[in-house]
Amino acid sequence: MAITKTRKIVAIVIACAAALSAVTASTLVGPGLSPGETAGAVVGRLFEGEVGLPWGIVLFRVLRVAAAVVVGIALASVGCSLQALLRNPLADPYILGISSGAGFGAALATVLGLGTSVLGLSAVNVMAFAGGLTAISLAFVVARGTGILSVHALLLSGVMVGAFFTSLVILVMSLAPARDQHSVFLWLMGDLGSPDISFFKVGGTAILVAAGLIFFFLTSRALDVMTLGDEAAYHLGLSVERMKVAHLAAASLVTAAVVALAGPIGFVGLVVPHAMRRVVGPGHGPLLAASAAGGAFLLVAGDTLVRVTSGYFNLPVVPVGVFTAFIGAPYFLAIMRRRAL
Amino acid sequence: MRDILLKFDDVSFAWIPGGTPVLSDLSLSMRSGDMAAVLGPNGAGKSTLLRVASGYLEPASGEVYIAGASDGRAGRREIARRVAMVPQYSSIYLPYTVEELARLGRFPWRGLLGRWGGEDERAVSRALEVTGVSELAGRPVTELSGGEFQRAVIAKALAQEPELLLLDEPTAHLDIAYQMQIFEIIAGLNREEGLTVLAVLHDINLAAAFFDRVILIRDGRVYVDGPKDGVLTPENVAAVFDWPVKTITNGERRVIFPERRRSDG
Repeated sequence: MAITKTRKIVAIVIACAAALSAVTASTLVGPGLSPGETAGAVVGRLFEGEVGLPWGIVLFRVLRVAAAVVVGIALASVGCSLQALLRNPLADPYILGISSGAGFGAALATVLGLGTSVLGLSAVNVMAFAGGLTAISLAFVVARGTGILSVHALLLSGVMVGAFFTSLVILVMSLAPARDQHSVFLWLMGDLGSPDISFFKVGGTAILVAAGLIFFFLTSRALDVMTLGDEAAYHLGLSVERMKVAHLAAASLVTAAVVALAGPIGFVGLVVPHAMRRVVGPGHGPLLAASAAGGAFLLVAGDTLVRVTSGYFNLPVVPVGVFTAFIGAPYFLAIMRRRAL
Repeated sequence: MRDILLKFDDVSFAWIPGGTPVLSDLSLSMRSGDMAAVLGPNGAGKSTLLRVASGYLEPASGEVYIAGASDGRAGRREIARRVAMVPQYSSIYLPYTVEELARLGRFPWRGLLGRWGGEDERAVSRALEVTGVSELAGRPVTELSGGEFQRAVIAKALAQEPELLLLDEPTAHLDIAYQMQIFEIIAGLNREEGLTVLAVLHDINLAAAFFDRVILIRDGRVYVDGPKDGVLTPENVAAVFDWPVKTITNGERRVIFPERRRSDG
């Protein structure tokens, strides 16, 4: 059945509405403040200028929800870009080794006990960002060394560089004291509950993600063309090499930034583009819009769920990465089965 | 005199600099309205020739003129507006509809941000119509039969509105009915609209049936190039393919077939 233009627009509108509803719900619920009290605190701040403890809790929640939105948009849109670029349905933002490199940076910063560095960014943030970019740059340089930048070479070198950095993470952890092991372990799952989250960090990441998203939209037709393969894309007049490098750079910066903020939250970047492709078709303009909204929805809803349930059962908050993997992997298997792959 | 659309001047190509040349000092030219088939044994450099002709591969030496402009000077998109390529296999793994695929053929004209205009709409619907896939417009290409799929790929190439169409064994894995269908479409475009066609083929008789001009190549060089009747002689074909052949004539068509060297009784 053909997917009509109307259907695409309706799907994107629904996805945006779902994301907005999740944002509202997520801000209203959570431990410490009931939905009514939350609304009261917002009204009190807006109309009477009250800035007490309730307003403080609201602000903290807003920050966490904003982080979920930014990370969700980033991972899902980078997933779209890389699945097209690498022509591989298994591609996600981490496939070229970013998460492993970032994990190594974060583990090193934790174990060495590096404290706060510049501008409110912790050493973990900075080293995770640097580690992620180091890993993907290495993968890129190795792949390029084989001549033209082939997708296969890039995948192979990315997966190998990733494996190498994963072994370094395990090495660092095996030498680290138990307390550090635990915090590195939680970081590696991907979590939005970092206590040192700040407006500066979330805002800075948001600007980078917005720039990346705009770039992806402006070049969405190139993504369509690139899914036909390098040679076919060339014959349609695309400067394939240049576009590949630009997309890799944008995808790497955006991914490294969100991983530095929240750790490598898995499956959002893999599953959301697949889910949305089923609804709006393979064209990358609509796909990016739907995926950005879908990614934000999934992460905000997931984070709310882990926050509320762990609050209810009075347990430590489970990292949201556990939740996304928990539902993402079975979903991926289900669509694989239905397409009889 | 008709314009020259493609010209090779002593073109050589090797995959590794200084390595075994795939093309060596090959010269040929295509004029507007030509319909030429390239034949030759495996490894003779046929596909390489097409990819050099499209600008995808750069020659190691010699000059390639594509549509009047030297390759280096004309922009990528500029060339894609004049030259389209239909490969032997296209791996399209996403379920684009036939129409969406054909619309991608407008990329050289629209670029990243150009609007979709009436000209684009006309080019796409004509391309779908000529290739006979209008009724399949809304079908995902991943669900088509081999013949339908290859026609959809040709529709994408025609939506580019090229002056020169390059075809690399476009019917190699298709049944005879699909083979004939596709070459009748292409011969029709050449006859009625003056589309210039350069096709690499495997099947000598298919070339003889549809092409006026045949270029036999061997070891990266043109062995002989000219009107098919003069080129497709048993002597030439046997020399190029290194195998004895015979011809039989059936009405107006001459058919070439390989001889058996041994009879097993």
